[in-house]
Amino acid sequence: MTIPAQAITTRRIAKDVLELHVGPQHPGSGHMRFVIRLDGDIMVEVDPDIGFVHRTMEKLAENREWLKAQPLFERMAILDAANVTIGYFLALEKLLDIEPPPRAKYIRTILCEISRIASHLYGFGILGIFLGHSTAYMWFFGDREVFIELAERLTGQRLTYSFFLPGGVRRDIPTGFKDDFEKAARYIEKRLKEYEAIFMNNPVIRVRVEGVGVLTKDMAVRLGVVGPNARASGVKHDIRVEEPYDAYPELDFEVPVYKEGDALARFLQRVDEIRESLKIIRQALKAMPNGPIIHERYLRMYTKVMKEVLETQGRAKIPAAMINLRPPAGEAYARAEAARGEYFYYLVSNGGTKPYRARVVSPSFRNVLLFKYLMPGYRLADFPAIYGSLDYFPPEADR
Amino acid sequence: MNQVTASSQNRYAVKSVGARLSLVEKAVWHARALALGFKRLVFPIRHTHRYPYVRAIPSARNYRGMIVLLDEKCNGCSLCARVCPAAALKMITVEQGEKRPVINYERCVFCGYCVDICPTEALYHTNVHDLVFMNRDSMIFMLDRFTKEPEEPEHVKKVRVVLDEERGLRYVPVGSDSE
Amino acid sequence: MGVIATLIDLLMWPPVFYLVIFPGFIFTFVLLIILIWAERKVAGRIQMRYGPLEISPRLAGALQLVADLLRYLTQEIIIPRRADRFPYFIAPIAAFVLGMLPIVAIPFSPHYYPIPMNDSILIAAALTTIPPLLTILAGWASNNKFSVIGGARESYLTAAYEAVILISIASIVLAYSTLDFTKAVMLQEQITWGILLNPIAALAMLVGIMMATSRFPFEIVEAEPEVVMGPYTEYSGIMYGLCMGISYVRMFVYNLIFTLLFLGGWHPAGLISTGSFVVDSILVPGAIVATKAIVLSLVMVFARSVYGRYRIDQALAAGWGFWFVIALLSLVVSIGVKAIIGWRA
Repeated sequence: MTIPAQAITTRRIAKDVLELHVGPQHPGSGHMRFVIRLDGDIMVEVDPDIGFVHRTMEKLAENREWLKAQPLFERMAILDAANVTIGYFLALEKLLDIEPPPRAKYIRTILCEISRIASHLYGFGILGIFLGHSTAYMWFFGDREVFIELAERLTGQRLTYSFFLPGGVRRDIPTGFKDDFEKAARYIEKRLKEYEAIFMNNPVIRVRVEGVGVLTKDMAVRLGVVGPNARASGVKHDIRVEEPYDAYPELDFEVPVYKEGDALARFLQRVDEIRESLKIIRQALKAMPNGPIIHERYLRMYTKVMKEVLETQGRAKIPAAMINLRPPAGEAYARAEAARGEYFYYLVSNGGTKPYRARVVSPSFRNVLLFKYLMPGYRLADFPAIYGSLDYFPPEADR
Repeated sequence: MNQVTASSQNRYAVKSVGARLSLVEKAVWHARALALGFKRLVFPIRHTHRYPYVRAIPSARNYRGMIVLLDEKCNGCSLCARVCPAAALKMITVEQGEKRPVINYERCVFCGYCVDICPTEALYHTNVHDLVFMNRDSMIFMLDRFTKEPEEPEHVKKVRVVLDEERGLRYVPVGSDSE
Repeated sequence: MGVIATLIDLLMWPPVFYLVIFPGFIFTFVLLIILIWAERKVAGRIQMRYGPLEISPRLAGALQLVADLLRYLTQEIIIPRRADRFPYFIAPIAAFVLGMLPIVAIPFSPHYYPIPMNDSILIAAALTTIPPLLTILAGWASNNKFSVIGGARESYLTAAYEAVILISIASIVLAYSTLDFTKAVMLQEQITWGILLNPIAALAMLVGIMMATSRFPFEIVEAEPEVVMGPYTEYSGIMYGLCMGISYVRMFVYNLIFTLLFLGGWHPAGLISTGSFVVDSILVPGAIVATKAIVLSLVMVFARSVYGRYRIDQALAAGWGFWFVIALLSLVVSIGVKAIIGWRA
């Protein structure tokens, strides 16, 4: 019985290519798998295989009330919890047609920037350990602990903030927060100088990231890359400047953009972003307006007990009507700038207590293409260097 | 949402990574890296504490730890069970048809929605965030355990975390003055 | 009775005592345990944490390695089905033991040596080149793509660092005009230490030793995010423990050679005399040499906390392009030193 010729597909196997499965059980792969084809030491093709951490978050959000989606979406990129969920609340507030009071906007901005700093320090730690520099890894994670402690004083938890409400925030700034922040800011500025000596200008590290994984500007635009990866290639795009939200229109800050597009540029761009975030938080703390931290519509529903708690403890209670929040039927979208790039939320409501559709596009999902297009032509040892410099987070890509 | 168009282009500061290091600069940076490593060997900063012999008590006044129920204040409205995102609280019926919540700590994510929605302030957070359970059934706290504060081991040293400019984090014993 | 007395006599016979107990197998093994513990504590101190502290908290965790060793001894050894069995077993064991083999040519004092030799430097340097072959064999026998890549990296690096180390040794031998360790140390006692006579050769050999024994920044063969564990990926249990120890054993032996050639060997020992032969000629010089080698090992181990790792082509470019040239330069410097100190054959 012969097989007809149309039923056979042939694939050419190159003779000198070694196929390496850098799988989920590999110290240098994170929660995903790569199929790397090597010609000697040069990578010829890299195939990312994502989906190992897919938790069906968009579908789960359809079965939970509007308020309950916050702890769900936070766990997409838990290191950056404030920036991940702010987009959801911006879209929800558009559906409800309310805007948070000014003080709440400033508090949101402060938490978002603290979260951004902590996330960048995590990314640097991962870059350090992929390059073999265990001291940089421990130092970055240890310094991140300072900002986690600061966030704990503000929100009550180290990483899973769950801090926002539609129309405001849940806690007010505690006493002593400004002094604590000043100490943390001065500490991290001192440490950034130490990092220059041991990590950034360390000749061994510098030669591993210079000129490695070069992403040109038109390739970044063509592939749709977002976030610091694009800004380090010369693309001038930051949602905090293009479509500002919360307190960003009133604050004065710069967004660093680097021209070269190699791993060193991506690293230095994030370091500069940390310095700008410190500037933003300082301005926000100084210019903090007085006022309520929750929108009028919900403040009216407060009982005497709740008002007393708000005044003495700075804790905004949740009015009972928020469980059955029914935004009018319609759709809304919002964009937010997280540490890794732009989050895009699209919410559709049909007037019920649960979302009809909640769509999330995360920045790491957009950056996956870089593995396929950026890696070929570099050596196998450049694979962890490029991976670490992209600040890619698999749970965020898989949702 | 404000649209900032014309003036947005000058918010971007274009920078460059700089030239490659020359040989002399490389030697200097090698020496500086080794000197910094040696300095941190002789004068270390330590951010770790020896848990579980030393326990760091969270100093935030609104830390979201394990939850305790005040039975006399609860009126059985079930708002807490309805708002829990992880379905960790369930209402059970006690005498006279009244309802009280019980909690399953395997599911609790310590988000604090229940504490914040209770209209009579019958739930509150404690400072304890780490308890050990020997089997999964003991993670369900019925009313007798839910209304009592969780026990902490007595023989550990308790410290609080203080932010510090030189060292980042410092640990001071609980009860001392420098808070 | 006769058997035990014979065994004790055999053990007390100087060559056997030397090779098995004092600077030989048991001493190196104990030193290995202390050195790895010191590396972890030093790294922990720099990295804002404590290092191993749970096993023996009052001794600052010093028994951690003993606990690790017991854990390795009781762990199951898993052999991959398609691995080549005999080379798979022999390679780490042989690499560990043969890594200590150069001690047969290294004296610890003019009167304490295993075998009388005239060309001990040559023999010691030649014997240090055996373990890399066994590493490559382990990489091949494991039947794993990552191990093969690790073995290939080791073969490239071997060519580079052997050239640097051997030329540095050749240049300092040129300055001393003798191939005997004892005479080299006596010359350093008379004039000055080798590191001051030819610092360029000392620097080149130091970097060469770091390349040879996978010290950061040259931890390329066992680079974790790239090739999991290199040639030693498929090993478990006590075989894995041996694989971990191979590079430390080789580092200690190289450091002994460096001490005797550049750091004056047992230099201040001639100034101490207590009258007893054992103390004067065995314990004091032995302690001095061992201390110098240990301090040098600690310095090399400290570099782990400061550096990342190079890429293989950058390390080879550094090895052949820079340090090889420096080593050749040190030959020229040695000729100059020779002219100054004259011919003292």
